[in-house]
Amino acid sequence: MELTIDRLTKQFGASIAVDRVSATLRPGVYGLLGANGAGKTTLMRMLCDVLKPTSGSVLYDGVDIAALGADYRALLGYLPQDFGYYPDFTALDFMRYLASLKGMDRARARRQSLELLELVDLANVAKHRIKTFSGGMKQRLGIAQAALNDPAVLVLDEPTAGLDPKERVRFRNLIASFAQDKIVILSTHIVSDVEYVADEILVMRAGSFVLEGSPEQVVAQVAGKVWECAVGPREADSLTARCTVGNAHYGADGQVVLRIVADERPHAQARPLEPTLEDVYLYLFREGPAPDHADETAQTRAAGKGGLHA
Amino acid sequence: MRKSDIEGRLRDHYVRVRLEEAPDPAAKARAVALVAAEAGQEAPAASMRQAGFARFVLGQIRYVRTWVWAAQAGLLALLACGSLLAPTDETASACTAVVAALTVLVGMPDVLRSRESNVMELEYACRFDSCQVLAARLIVLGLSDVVVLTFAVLAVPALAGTDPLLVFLHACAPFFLTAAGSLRIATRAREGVTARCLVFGTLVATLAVMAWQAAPRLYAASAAGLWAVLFALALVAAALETKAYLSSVAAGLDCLGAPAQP
Repeated sequence: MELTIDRLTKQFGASIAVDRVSATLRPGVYGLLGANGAGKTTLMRMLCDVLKPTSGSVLYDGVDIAALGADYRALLGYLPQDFGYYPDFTALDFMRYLASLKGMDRARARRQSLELLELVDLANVAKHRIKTFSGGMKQRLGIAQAALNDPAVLVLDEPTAGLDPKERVRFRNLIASFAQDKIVILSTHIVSDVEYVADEILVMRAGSFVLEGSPEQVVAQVAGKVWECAVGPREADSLTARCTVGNAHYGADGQVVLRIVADERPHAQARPLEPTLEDVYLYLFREGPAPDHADETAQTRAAGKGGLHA
Repeated sequence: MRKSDIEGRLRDHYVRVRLEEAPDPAAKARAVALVAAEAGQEAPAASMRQAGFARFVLGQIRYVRTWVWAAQAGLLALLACGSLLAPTDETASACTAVVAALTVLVGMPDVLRSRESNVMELEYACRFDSCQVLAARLIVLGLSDVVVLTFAVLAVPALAGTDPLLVFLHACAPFFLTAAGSLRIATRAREGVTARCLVFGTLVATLAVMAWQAAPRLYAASAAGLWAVLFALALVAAALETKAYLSSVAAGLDCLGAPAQP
C-alpha cells in the first residue's frame, strides 16, 4: 500500500497554499508539523479529495485518487480541523449516520459505533445529543468516526485540539494501535502529539516540506544549535529579544535559566544541550528568513526516510 | 533515569502497543481469502454501486428530522381544511398555491443541513460524498413533496369542486418557482443560505395571497394559460438550478465557497 504525493500544488488566487509538495507514504504514522498557515490543512484536504489541487496529483497504489473516487474514499478516515456535527443528533446517531455515508451495513455500523464510542470513553453518553458535549468530548467523537470503517488511510487534522493531557495520552495509544498496516497522517503544531508515536516527521513551512525524516533524523538537524544558560533577569530580557527562547524559568538563586535555539553560542556561559523535536520547530519557525534546508532535506531523504513498514 | 532512556522507553511502548494489537497473520489471511471468495460471487461493480446508492437513499429517510414530516402532514391538513372551508374556487386555489410554496420551505433546511452545520467537509471524504448526500435528500424530500402535490390535485377538486388541471397549475407553478429560487440562492450565497431561502419562499407565498386579494380572477380558469407559462418556466428553472447546485457541490469545498482557504 502506498500513497504518493506528486508535485501537489494548491493556489487560492495569488496565494500559494501548497507548493509542489511530493512524498511517498507507506504504512506507518506520519506527523505533519507546521505553524498556522503553513498549508497543512490544505494538504490534508487534497489527500482526502475534499479539495481539488491546482496541479499535481495524489496516487493510491499508482492510481490517481480523483479517478478512484468513491473507491478511495471508502478506504479513508478523516477528521477535519474544523469538525462539524449535527447538534441534535446523539453521538450514536451521528456515528451511524457517518457509517451509512461510508457504505457500512446497519448491523456492522451499530457494532463498530458502540465499540469505538467505548474506546474513546463516550459509551455512557452515546444517547446524549452532541450539542450537550464539551469540546473534548466532541473531539473524541470526531476521532471515533474517523476510524469507523477501519480505514487504510487515516488523516487527522489537529486531532488533539481541546483534549486534556490524559486524553492526549489515550489518543497516542489509540493511534499506535490503529497504525498497524495503515497510513496514518497527523497534522499538528503540538510537537508532543507526534514526538514518540510518529515513524516519520514532515515539517511544513510556507506550503513546502522543509524537513522530512524519522524523529531522530529531524532532530539531528538542529544538533549543536540548542543552548542553556543561566543569566540575570536584565540579560535574560536582552537574550529573549534577540534569540529564540524555548523555555525560561527562574532558578533558586534568582537567575533565569534560558533554553535558546541559535546557530551560534548566544552567551559565553551557554552550554550545549541535546535537541528535541520542539527545538526543531522553534528553529524552523523562528522569526526572520527561513533557513535554506534544501540540502538538509535531500540528505535526510538519502538517509533512508520513509514508512518503516514498507 | 535519563531523558533519553525515558524517550526510548516511550517509543518502545508505542511500538509494542502497535504490535500487540496487530491481527494474527494466519487469521487475517483466512479472512482475506474468504472475502475474496465472497467477492467473486457478487454482482458486477456497476450494478453493485447502483444498488448501493439506492439503498443509501432509502437509508437517508431516517435522518430527515421528525418535524419535517410533521410539518408536511400539517400542510396536508391545512390544504384539506382550506379546500373544505373556502367560499370560492379562487380561494381554494390560492390556498393550494400557498401550501405548495410552503412545502418547499419545510424541506429546505434539511436539504441544506450539511452546509449549515459545517458537516460538508466530513461528508466530502466519505464513500457517499456531499454530492450524493444532497442528491439523496433531494430525492427523499422531493418524493414527499410529490405526495403533497398529488394530494392537492386529487383532494382539492374533490373537496372544493375546482378543476384538477387548474389545481395542478396553481400548485406546481409556485412550488417549482420556490424550488428554483431557493436552489439559486444555495448556489450563489455564501452565508445565511437557509434564512434567505425561507425569506424567498415566504415571499412567493405572500405574492400568491396578494394576487388573490388584489385580483381573484388570476385564479380563475381564464388565467390558466398564464399559469401554464409560469409553470413551464418555473419547471425549467428548477431543473437548471438543481443541476447547477449539484454541480457546485460536486466541484469540491472551495468551489462551494465554504471556508477552504488556509
